[in-house]
This record gives sequence, structure tokens and C-alpha cells, in this order.
Amino acid sequence: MSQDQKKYLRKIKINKFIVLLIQLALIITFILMWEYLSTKEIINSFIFSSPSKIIKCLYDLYLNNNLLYHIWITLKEIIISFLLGFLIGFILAVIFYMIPILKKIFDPFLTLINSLPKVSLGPLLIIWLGANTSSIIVMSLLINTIVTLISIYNGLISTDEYKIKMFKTFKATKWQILFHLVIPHNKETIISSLKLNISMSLIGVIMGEFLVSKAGIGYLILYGTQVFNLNLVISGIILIMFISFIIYLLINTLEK
Amino acid sequence: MNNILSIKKLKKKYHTLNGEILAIKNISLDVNEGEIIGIVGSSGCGKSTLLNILADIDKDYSGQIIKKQIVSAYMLQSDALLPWLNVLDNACIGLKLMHKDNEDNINYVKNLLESFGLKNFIYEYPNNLSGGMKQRVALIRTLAIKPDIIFLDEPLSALDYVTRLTITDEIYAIIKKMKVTTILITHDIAECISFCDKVVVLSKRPAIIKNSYEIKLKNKTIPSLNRKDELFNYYYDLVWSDLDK
Repeated sequence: MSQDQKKYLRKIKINKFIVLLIQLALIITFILMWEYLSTKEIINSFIFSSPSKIIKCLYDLYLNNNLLYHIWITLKEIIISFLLGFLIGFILAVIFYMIPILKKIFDPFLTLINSLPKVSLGPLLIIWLGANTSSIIVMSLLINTIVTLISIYNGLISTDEYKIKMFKTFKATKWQILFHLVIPHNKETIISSLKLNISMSLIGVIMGEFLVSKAGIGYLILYGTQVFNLNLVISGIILIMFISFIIYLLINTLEK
Repeated sequence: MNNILSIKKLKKKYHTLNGEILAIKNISLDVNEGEIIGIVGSSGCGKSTLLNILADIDKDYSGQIIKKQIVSAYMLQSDALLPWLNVLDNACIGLKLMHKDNEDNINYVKNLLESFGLKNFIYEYPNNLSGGMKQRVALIRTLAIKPDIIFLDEPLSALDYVTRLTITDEIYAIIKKMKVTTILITHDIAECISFCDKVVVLSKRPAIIKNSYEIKLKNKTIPSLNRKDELFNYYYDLVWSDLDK
């Protein structure tokens, strides 16, 4: 390796390190400032809480055997709605791609459902399905399925026309075109729809937990609001951020 | 020479909301075994439409196309290589789709790749190939199914001029070596005259055959040298005047 190449690689490494360092410094500064302002009562520590109070709150929850239970409940709902939402969205996208007239028929209905604020369906879901996990999962599915369907469908129809034509020159069947070309061609679109789906599932599950739950992080946040325990509310929000980040990292690893 | 393909009174219409568009008015053409026929015409005159019909991609036409029991293959303007497959798998994709990817045929493709300068690139991915190499792989993919006739739809239009001249010679050598009947579609008159045995000039849309010329150069060799032949300019002027009318 030449000296110039080594220099170039070192420059990239240093750049990466600087970005990471600044990111960490920003987080640490934010936490320290927050703690300082709260301890000195410059900001109202009852409303804004503080990092130390949040850590204590999470630790107390852990000691009461509640923390992992609530995380598990939310995680379970996210995983179920994520997998179901992706599967249903993907299958529908493929069906619409294979039978274009179906897409034309359902297009206005999809737009209608997509533009509807899903939370407005909450009371109906509770009456139809009961105040249980099913309502939470269906709420999440309403949000993530259509987004997955639309993003995957848009990817499928934008498959390179020349490549499709090349397949047709070899008398490929529709299924061969789908499995050997269209799906592999859209690997990146499918992965980015997974990323989109995971954040939508999270939104849906928390929204659902706000409406009907008896456990889960959404429940903790709602309960915290009702009893004006803002340490609990902010702890819940931080837990959601953490879960979302971990799942995002997992999908990124899968992508690589 | 044996007649391999016969087109009789071919007509093709497109239907739009604003009415019908006649793309091909009346085309009759005979193609003999081993012949290289060039079809030249201005952009949008219906050349690619004609090729789509001949390759069975478009079956909505009137007229007659008489083919013997032949295998035909089509090479497009774009190399259309699949970036997630290596060179060998790309070259074998046609065989795979036609369920002919047995060991003999795969070895045949390997030999083709080796004999056309891609020996060291068999397991490389398309991203690591030059534009010219990609076109060679695309041609080998077309030839892998052992076609009796190949249709080339402006296969080199995406390449720069110098690469285009080199690759034209290479493709010509491959086609001649394999004795495949070829129909080349292009809007490049020089390419068409230097490459083909016969040049068919199409009119503007709706396409009819304006003229056709047997290219009898004084010293016919490879396309890049054919361009220097004494009679090259003579044919060029003839075709140009047909297109200009």
C-alpha cells in the first residue's frame, strides 16, 4: 500500500472518529447540563426530571421486577406487529404487482386508509376486539401495513424495464421474472421498508398501549402522566428510544 | 441459402386514448441462414417494435412471420446484467430460465467466456467490468442458449465511440465464428454498413422498407477496416440519401 493510500485511509478513520467524538460529547454535555440545571433548580425538576432521577426510577422498576416485564410486553407486541405488517404488506405488494388491475381497484381505498388518522379508529377497535393485546396489534398493523405495501409496491414497479425485457427474451414466466429478477432487484427497497416498518410498528404499539393496555412501556408513560410521575414518563420515552435504536441496529446488521 | 425467417406484409398498430398509431405499415423481408442483416432507420421509426415482434415479445400484429423451428435470442441496448450475480451466472441466466442449465451447457458458456477474453473475470461481479466487457457478457448470455438467429437492438449505443469500434469488431468475430444469423438494428449508418451483409432502410413512422442493399465491399474484413473500404462511402451515401428523403 502506497503512502498516499495510507494517508487517505487514515484521514477517513480520523474523520469518523471526530464525528463519533462530537456525537458523544453532545450527548454527555446534554446529560450533564440537564442534571446541573435540574439539581440547581434552574429548571423545574418535577416537570423536567433529571438523568439521576430517571436512572433511579428505572432501577426501582427493575427491583420491583417490573422493568423487564414491561419491556418484554412492548417488545412482543412490536415484533408480532412488525412481522405481520411486513408479511401482509409484502404479500399484498406482490399481488398488486402481479395483478395490476387489483392495484387500480384498491388504490383509492388505500389512499383513504393511509390518510386516515389511525388513532380515530381506537375506540372502534376496543369495542370490536376488546381491551387487549389484539387491539394494540391491529392498531399497529393499520399503521405499518399500508406504509410497507406502498413502499415495496413502488419498488417493484420501478424494476429496470430493460432487465424485464431481457427476461422476456428468454421466454421467462411471470413467476420467474418475480423470483429471479424483481424481488432480488428490490432487496434494498425491501430492507428500507423493514426500517420504516419498525418505526411504524413502534408508533402503532405505543399508540395502542395508550388506548387499552394494562402493561408495556406505553402503559408506563400513560400511568406516569395520570399520577403526574414525570420521571416515569421520561423513563418510558428513553426506553422506547433505546428499543427503537437496538432494533434499527439489528436491521442494519441484517442489511450488511 | 436456406431461408430461416420470412416476414410477410407485417403491420403493427398501437392503440391510445387519442386514436390509433400505425407503427409499421407494411414490411416484407426474407432472412437467410448465416446472413447478417442491418435494419437502419431514424429514431422512433419502429425498428425496435419490429424486433420485439420478431422475438415474440410483442404478439399483437397483423401479417405473417414464418419461422422454422428455430431458437432466437435478443440482445438489448442496455447490457441488463444483474448486479447480484457474477459473470458466469449472468451469462447462464437465459439457460436457467429455459431450464437448460445443465453441466454441458454451463461448460459451454465457460468456454465462450474464456475464448472471448473474460477468463479472469468469470467470478467477478458486473460492477468490476468495463462497459465493453459488460456488452461481451451480454452477447455471450444471448449466445449461451445456442440460438439459430440473434436480434441485436442497438447493442452498443450506450458505449463511447472508441470502445464501440473495438467491441463491434469483437462481436462481429464472435458472430462469424459461431455462424449465427443476425439482425442488427441501429440508427448508425456506418456501423450498419461495416457490420452487415445486407442493409435494409426503413422510412419514418409508419415504417415501410424504403430500400435494401447487398453490401459488396471490395475487401470485406472486420467492421473497423470495412469503414476504410473504397465502396464504403458509396453505400453510406446511398443509405443516407434514403434516410434524408
